[in-house]
Amino acid sequence: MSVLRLNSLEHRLHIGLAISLIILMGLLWLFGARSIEDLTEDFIASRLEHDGEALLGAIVLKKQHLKVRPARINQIYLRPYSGHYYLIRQSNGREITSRSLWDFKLQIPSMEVGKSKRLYLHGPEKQQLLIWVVGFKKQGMDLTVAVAEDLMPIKMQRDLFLRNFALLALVSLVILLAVQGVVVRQAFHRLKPLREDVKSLSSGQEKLLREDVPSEMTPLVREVNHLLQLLSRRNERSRNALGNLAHALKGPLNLLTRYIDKQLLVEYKTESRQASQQVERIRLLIDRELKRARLAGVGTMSQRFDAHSDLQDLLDVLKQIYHEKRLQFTQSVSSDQQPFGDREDILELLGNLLDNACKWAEGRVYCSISGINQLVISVEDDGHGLVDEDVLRLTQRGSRLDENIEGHGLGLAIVYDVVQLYNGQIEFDRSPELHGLRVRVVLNHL
Amino acid sequence: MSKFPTRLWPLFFFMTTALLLADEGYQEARQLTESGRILPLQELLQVIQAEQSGRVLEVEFEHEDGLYLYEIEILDKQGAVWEFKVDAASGEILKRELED
Repeated sequence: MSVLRLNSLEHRLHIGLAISLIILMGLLWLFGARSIEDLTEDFIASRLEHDGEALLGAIVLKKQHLKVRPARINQIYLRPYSGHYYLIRQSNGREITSRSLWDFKLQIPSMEVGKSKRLYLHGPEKQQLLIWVVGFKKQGMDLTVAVAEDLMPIKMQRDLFLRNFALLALVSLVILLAVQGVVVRQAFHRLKPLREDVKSLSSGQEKLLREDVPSEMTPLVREVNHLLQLLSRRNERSRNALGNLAHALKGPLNLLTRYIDKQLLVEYKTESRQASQQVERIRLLIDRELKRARLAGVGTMSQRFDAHSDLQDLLDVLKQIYHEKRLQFTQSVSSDQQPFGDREDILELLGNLLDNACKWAEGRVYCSISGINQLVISVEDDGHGLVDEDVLRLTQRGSRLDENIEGHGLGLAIVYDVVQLYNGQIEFDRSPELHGLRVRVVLNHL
Repeated sequence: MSKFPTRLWPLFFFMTTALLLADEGYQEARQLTESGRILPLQELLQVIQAEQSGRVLEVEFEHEDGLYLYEIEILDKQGAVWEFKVDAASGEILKRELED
């Protein structure tokens, strides 16, 4: 669950959501803090204004002496250090302070009549005072009236609120991320059938993908299906065309062969002999290229080779073909052998190897199929026709694999094609048990 | 004010004079603090708060036997009211008791 896995959609979404939420919550927090501060201070300031005016009403002037009628003012101005204070200054410098201020000195500037100002000063006992200072004129005397209130209690309330807000924002961020994670994982869970579809597509069980997927994926699935149909049609068409061509050529070729053979019977000519050879060569080439074309067209829709059933079928056919030789077949297939490759490719390869083995065998043929990530085929016979030199010659693969292999007949050429197609290996040696030829083929997944 | 019951006038006068008398103390304290003869109330409160934390309920300033005394009431967190008597010049706590 590393956060650095930027390739994961879920993590990208998480990061996006987290960043946008943090920015949003931060802005809300700043805006909220600012609004609350302005609101509370405005509220307190307006209350101070009212208190200031009430105070002005409670002031009596007797022989140039100021007095505040205590009955007319709030009790809160009497309790020492209560957080509510006032100060009245005459133009001659004489001051009257509220009893609540006791002996604390407030430095208040004198104000002209009609002017007012907000001040922020420290009060007694670490109080933070918001002070409303205003200039009045009463009974011909200029007065500066300052009314103050401690902001600390309301500030503490505000801080508590902002702390709770931040906590709430954090908790909701975590919850939202968790919910998003669940939603994303569920969305991707719905893609699981699609993955299985693709898997069964490659194993040849399905022809098309189901379109029952999240709507965002539907266009992609439709495109893939369209492509699959196109490919399958194209494959079919080219196979059909090649098949038709082969059929069409077979007739004329047979006629040519017969004609040349007749010619050869009438009079032997080197040219006729060469023509006969060339026609034979054309037929071999056509057959070979036909098979190559079919191999190259390994479609995604082909069936897989199942060693358990397909090998038995093949051996049954060979038994019938070589029933006169009364061959004894031994086969070994590992029980957990998985279906592999293209059925027709493997049957072609195996058919050729076994056909050769049957041809040369005296009485026994052995075939084994194994391998988990590869397909390992081993075919052995007990034929004596093969001398050590032949085995040696077959093992020199450098010259054997790439070049014309007509000398061995078409069978081995096809075997080599399949081996190449599956990026595999082929080895020849003498069978340690049956003493005939042993061919060992290893095929890799396509 | 004209509708104020006549028989309550004496009570009203008593209350105002009591308040006015209570008021006078702080102005004397203010002058004495300014001249440096007694300690500022803030400093005395710090001494008291170290003994017993709480909010200041009431402060009274008295002049007794040549001594300047502060009588300070503190309300603690449990709701109990403490009364302190402090020498305003030295800051010494002379008396400390839970008020009945």
